[in-house]
Amino acid sequence: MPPLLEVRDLYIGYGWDERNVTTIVRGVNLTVAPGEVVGLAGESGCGKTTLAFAAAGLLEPPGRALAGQVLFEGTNLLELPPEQLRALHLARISMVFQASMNVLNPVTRIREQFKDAMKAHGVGSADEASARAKEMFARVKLPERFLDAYPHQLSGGMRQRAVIALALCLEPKLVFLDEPTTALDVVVQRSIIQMLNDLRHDLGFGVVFITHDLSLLVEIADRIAIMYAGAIVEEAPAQLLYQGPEHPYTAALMSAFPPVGGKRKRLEGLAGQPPDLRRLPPGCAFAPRCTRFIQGTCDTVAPPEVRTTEGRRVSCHLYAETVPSRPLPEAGPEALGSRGNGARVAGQPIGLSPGEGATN
Amino acid sequence: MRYLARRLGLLLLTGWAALTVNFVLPRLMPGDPIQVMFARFQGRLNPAAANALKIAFGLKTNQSIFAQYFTYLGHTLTGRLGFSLTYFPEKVTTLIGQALPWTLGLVGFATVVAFIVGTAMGALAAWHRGSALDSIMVPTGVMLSAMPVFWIGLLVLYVFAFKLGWFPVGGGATGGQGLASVSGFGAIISHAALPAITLTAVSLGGYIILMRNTTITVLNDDFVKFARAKGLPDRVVASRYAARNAILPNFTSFALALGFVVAGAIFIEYVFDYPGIAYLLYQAVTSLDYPLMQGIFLVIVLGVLIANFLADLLYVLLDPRIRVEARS
Amino acid sequence: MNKASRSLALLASGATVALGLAVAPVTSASASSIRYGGVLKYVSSWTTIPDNFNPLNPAGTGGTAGGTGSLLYEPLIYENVYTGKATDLLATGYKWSNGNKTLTLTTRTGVKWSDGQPFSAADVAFTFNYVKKYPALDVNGFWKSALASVTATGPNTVVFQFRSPQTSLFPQIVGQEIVPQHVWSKVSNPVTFANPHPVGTGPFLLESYSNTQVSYVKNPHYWMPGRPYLAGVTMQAVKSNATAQLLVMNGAASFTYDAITDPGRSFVAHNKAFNHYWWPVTNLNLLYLNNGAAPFNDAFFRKALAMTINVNAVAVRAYFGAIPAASGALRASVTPGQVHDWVPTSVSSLGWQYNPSGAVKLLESHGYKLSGGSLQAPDGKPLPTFNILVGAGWSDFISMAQTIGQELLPLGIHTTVEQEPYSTYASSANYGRYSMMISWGNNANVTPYYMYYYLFHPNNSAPIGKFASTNWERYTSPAVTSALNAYARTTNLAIQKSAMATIEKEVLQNVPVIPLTGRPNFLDYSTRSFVGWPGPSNPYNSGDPGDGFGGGGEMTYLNVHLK
Ligand SMILES: Nc1ncnc2c1ncn2[C@@H]1O[C@H](COP(=O)(O)OP(=O)(O)O)[C@@H](O)[C@H]1O
Ligand SMILES: [Mg+2]
Repeated sequence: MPPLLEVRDLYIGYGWDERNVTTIVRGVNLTVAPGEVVGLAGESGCGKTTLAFAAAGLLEPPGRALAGQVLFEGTNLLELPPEQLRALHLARISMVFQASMNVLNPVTRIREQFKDAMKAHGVGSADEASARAKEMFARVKLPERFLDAYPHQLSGGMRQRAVIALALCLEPKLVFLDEPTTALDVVVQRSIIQMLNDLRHDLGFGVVFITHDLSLLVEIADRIAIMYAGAIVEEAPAQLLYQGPEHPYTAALMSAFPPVGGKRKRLEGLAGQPPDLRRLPPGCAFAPRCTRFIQGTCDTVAPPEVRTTEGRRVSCHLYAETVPSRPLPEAGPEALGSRGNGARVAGQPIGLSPGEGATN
Repeated sequence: MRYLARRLGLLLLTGWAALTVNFVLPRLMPGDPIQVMFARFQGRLNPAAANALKIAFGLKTNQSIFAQYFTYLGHTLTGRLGFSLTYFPEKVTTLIGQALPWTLGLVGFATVVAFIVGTAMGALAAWHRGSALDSIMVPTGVMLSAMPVFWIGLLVLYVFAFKLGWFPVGGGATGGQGLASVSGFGAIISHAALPAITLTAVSLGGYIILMRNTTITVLNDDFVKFARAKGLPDRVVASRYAARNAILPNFTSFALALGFVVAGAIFIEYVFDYPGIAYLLYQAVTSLDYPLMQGIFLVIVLGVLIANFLADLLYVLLDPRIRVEARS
Repeated sequence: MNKASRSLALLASGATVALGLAVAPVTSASASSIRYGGVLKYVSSWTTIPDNFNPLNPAGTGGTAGGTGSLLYEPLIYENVYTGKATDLLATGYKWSNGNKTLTLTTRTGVKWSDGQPFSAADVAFTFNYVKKYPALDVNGFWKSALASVTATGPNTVVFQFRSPQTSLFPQIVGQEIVPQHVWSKVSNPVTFANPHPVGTGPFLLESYSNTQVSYVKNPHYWMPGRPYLAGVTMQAVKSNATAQLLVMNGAASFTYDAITDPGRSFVAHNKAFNHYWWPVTNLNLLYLNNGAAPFNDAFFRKALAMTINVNAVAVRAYFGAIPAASGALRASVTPGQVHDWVPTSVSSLGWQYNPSGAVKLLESHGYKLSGGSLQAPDGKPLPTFNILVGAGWSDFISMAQTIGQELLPLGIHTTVEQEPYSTYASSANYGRYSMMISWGNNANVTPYYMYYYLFHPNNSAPIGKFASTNWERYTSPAVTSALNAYARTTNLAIQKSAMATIEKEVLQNVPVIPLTGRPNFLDYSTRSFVGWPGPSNPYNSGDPGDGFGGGGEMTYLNVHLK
């Protein structure tokens, strides 16, 4: 059975004109099998949403795909004519945005927003559309009368349920859930996650679930990919990842978000800021914050991707055969401070995106 | 309903304040209308006429200020704005009645056209932002809205009326012709063309820029992105999602512009010799025709207030978020 | 020339003067060379043409459609303020009697109102009594103190009874526009009456009206033989003087009334063959000095200022040579047309001469001292900087004030130009809140009396801080007052002349105001299609505006004809 979604070596950048592009997503590979739940975790700003938009065929200027492919059921979405792409959206591929005030059109009634969507996908009669909307509202446990409400008349949780109902109304095969519960309080968050789980059971769609809360993913995802500075640094089945994170960044993330119910504690390993994507350090992008940093290697050579176990991969020098997997406990602030930047590194071959190459 | 009542109350209150200011201001100026009239005639009017004129204008200078105020309120509310000093015994209401249709026709038309065209162009520029269209439209819009009306008017007048002779040099219609005849109607249109084009051009820029900028903001809003994610055709996203929301601030400035129709018309009517109310105001100011000035100010202020009130009401219809606030 | 001879004859005491010898107004063109027909167009910067043809409208030309006073209705006699000559219109003669308390006027026979009814002396009596009945119409104050009764004693005779002799009211009485009794007796409120179907005796009839253009056609039954020459007159409202000037220059109109800046260059030079202006001086621009306050309360001080100001420079700077300076005999505050008959040479030689160094000596002889470029008063204090008040934005007055400021520097007097808006300016004048001010003479008329009366008579005066209607400089003197009163009582020309000479002498010696330049009418016209315009060689009127009341405008329409 072919994968539902296959992202191959994808590079994405932002820029209105070609000569001025900031590369955000760098060489991402990701697959989603039908009905599978793939989690995507990483700090805010690392490129999760950008990746999701590109993978859903929703990327629009100034965003641009610089290289790679996005194969949905074998078709490259990046080369699909707009009209065909449009037909896939909602019907086959759907996306639920972060729960914000503004996902629904503030000036029209929710019923209207169901109707125009279904009309765009050939659901002819208004009655049929209304019936479908009603059914979806029942599924997300919203009273029917709210169909005739304006978005601002709903609470945050209710609004997110309405968005989910709308996103799933044509029973898509693949659903991107981009931090669907981040802005909601914990109780509402729980009930929505529960509801999504039920829906997935009933409707059987594949999911890319994006969050920066790794502990949440461990509960619901089959597989988890960890993203750092636009690249996937580790990917593993959820349970394996939970039991033994391989990448130092994954480990740091996990301790920042302990499993639900556990006590959240401050994490010393995640100190410092995520790197500026326009000026990535040479070598490993995580190196400046890494507690297991290897001087002379991590700060000069891009880490290779290593398949450590079946179904697991990690991009880290610690797992490469050519370098000693020896941590450097002494790497203190002074060492960090003395690290050079890209200008000093001669002939660095790896990590340059085609977009960046074009600028040189 | 409470919202409506509150707005209406505010309208009445500001209306009353405007009336009162209109009463007080001329009384703060030195000289009575008769003195002013003599100054106006610059030595040609027989000083013996002062007595006759006082009787003619019905000036009751021995009334107490409160009595005068209540007389004034009563008269104003019943539409009695008194006589024009310049055109005695023409009533102020008659003069305003003659001039207002010209202005409303010209400036009203130009404002509506500028709003519609400017909004459409701004939305288009935003939709195709970064394109050649956008990069032409934005600087053009900025330039148009930055140039003084007076200056554009003179330029347009020089090129199209003097040099090319395509349009008449000034006036509202050819002498003696009215709306009654076809040729009269044609004359009105050809006389209105240049001032209308000028006015449209200068107000266009503002709408283009405002609409473009709000549309760009709106295009980045989640609901537009979600609309795309729903697979809606571009046309629907552009109109019912992006433009429908972006138009709200443009609409406010449109409503305000309608209120300022008269103020905005002053330069235009002056440059093009247009027989509208703004020119009448200019004339009233230069000839110190206080009753006429008061009457026109009243029309302007009431215009602004009523336009604001209507804009508030319409906004309620356009934006359901206000409606909730309105109901609570 | 005997410029004023006619007017003098009119005023001759007790004599019944046979008038109406020459019916037609003065014109140089011989009858055979005149082409009849053509529609003459007058343009003016009016916002709108009032839909009002009421010749009794107290607001005068402003409130009525152009042409009401000059084309539709006529006064009794037209008196030309520029030449002092008179032209009979609805009257043909008059006589003073009863110690100048009775004026008997003979009205013209054979005149018809435009509705076919005959005109008679009864209409004249009616008009004056009508003005009495509605005081709002009495803009000349006929009934305030002067007239006792006006009655028609025969079909061609009207008798005016005065309460006391007041012959000075004569120009206003004969200038009254006459209305038909059979129409106006039915009008309920003549003050606001718009008179939509005017019935007059004038040379033209109303043809069509819109608020931008009003048209008149020739009155075929007009009483003056062979007149008018024109088939019609059209008056068009344009919104600015510049547009009016443009229309005259390109031939779309034939004349306008406007003080064009530098008319030689900006108007005539565009087409020397056609474009002309005639700006005959009928009034003066004066530097008013506030006589009520130091140092302007000293005659020698005022005279020193006058000696220091070069009025020729002032006139050139303000009017580019288009309007003459008030030099020579005009220093007595008289207009050029009045000099010959009203200013004896023995008097005009009393006037001061431009003599800045003499002015310094004059001041020094009174204890002033010029030190370090500033003038010190006899008490040793330097004089303050004085304001010269002008109306805001009045460029001619501003130029004058600037020039005067420079001229006064050698005298150690420092000034600044102060611009005030119209109403403030007017009230500063009325209440005497200024030191120096540039303004006009009020109500100048055929003889010097009128300007003097409004400048100096106690009737028009009040102390500083109180409202003075026209005695803005606050100069009055018993000698001047009694001379004014003597003039107003008599019809004896010799008495009138000597009364005026008395005032002239005093004015030249005491310098209550300093005449600066002439103040003319502003006739701007084109000879592209029409000729017969008034001018220095044919001054049948004084370059009046085309819509003027009182016969002046009418003269233009009776004389201009196709080329
Ligand atoms: N429209 C855009 N134009 C330019 N840069 C963008 C745009 N959207 C996102 N970015 C940049 O891309 C990076 C990744 O953003 P995003 O994909 O939203 O991250 P995440 O979803 O992981 O928080 C950020 O640095 C952000 O500044
Ligand atoms: Mg995101």
